[in-house]
Amino acid sequence: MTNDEFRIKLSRSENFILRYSIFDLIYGLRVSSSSSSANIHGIKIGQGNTTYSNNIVVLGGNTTTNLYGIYESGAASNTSNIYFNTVYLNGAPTSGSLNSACLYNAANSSTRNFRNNIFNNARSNNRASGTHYAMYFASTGGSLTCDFNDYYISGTGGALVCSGSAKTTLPIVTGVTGNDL
Amino acid sequence: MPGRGGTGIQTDYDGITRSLTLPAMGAHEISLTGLVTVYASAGIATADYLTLQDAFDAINAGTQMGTLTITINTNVMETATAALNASRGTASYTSIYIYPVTTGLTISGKLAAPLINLNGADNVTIDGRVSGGACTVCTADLTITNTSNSSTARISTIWFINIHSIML
Repeated sequence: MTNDEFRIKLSRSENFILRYSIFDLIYGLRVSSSSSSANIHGIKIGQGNTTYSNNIVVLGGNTTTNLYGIYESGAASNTSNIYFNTVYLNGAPTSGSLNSACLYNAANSSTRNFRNNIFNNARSNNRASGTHYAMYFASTGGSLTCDFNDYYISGTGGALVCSGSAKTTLPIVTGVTGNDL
Repeated sequence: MPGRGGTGIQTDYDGITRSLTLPAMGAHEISLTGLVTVYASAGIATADYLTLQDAFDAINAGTQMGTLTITINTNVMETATAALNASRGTASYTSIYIYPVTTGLTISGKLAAPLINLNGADNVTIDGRVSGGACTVCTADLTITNTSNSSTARISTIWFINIHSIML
């Protein structure tokens, strides 16, 4: 086991990732109980001009860990098209303050197209104190199209989107065109 | 929930063909009935849209052509002007017939601009009767309203520009 687990990771690629199922309720993808800062990624996007479509990502469990359904690095000179994916996170962590996000965008240097996805984050704190986002933007601005996505949160500590700050209502992002209103 | 086309993704997780105009969000395609349906004799035969604006945009782009019938399937909220261009350039139609499929339907919006702009579009018929008059007792069953209270000039519910069309 490592502190940075993932099911798909791409680096320097120009590919299409489609119709991939990731159903892993931590029973098969575990982090050490002694770890307090582990990350689990369903799909981790490094570099490349890539389209990710029609994937189903389900991650959960109660262990203290960051959970990312799809992690987009936001690296410069790259394009990430994320279309028609269904991401569902659940679990009820009992300790720690680690967060989760169905889609996590780490930087704003890439060209990002996020459309027609379902992001359902049902992860809920059970004495833990993390925040559980449908979508998380580490930086605002940049080349971003983020439109016609379905965002749903239901647990304690849930937040619709982080874009500069946590938002619980639309619009989720501002200052760019073609986005969820 | 409906998403939007234009991504280039043609099938879903199971390989089922996605709707070009009104695909479902997420990995699984689900057949969604649009608020507005356009039936065409050329191009895509049948396509669903969320708004009349989307339908007109597709007609203007030549996605659907020929003899066109547009059904209003439920109440429609327009968020921008539904502008229909003349039949030239990419747009190619001989006639357009618009009617509601059930009673009491509304096409509405609150726009500081025309709700519907027939921009040189000839041979357009908007028939407020259910099923275009194929009803036993026909009443006015389609209300088109722009609720804008803006004082700006040239705000209309329907704006006609150089057209030969019919309102029934």
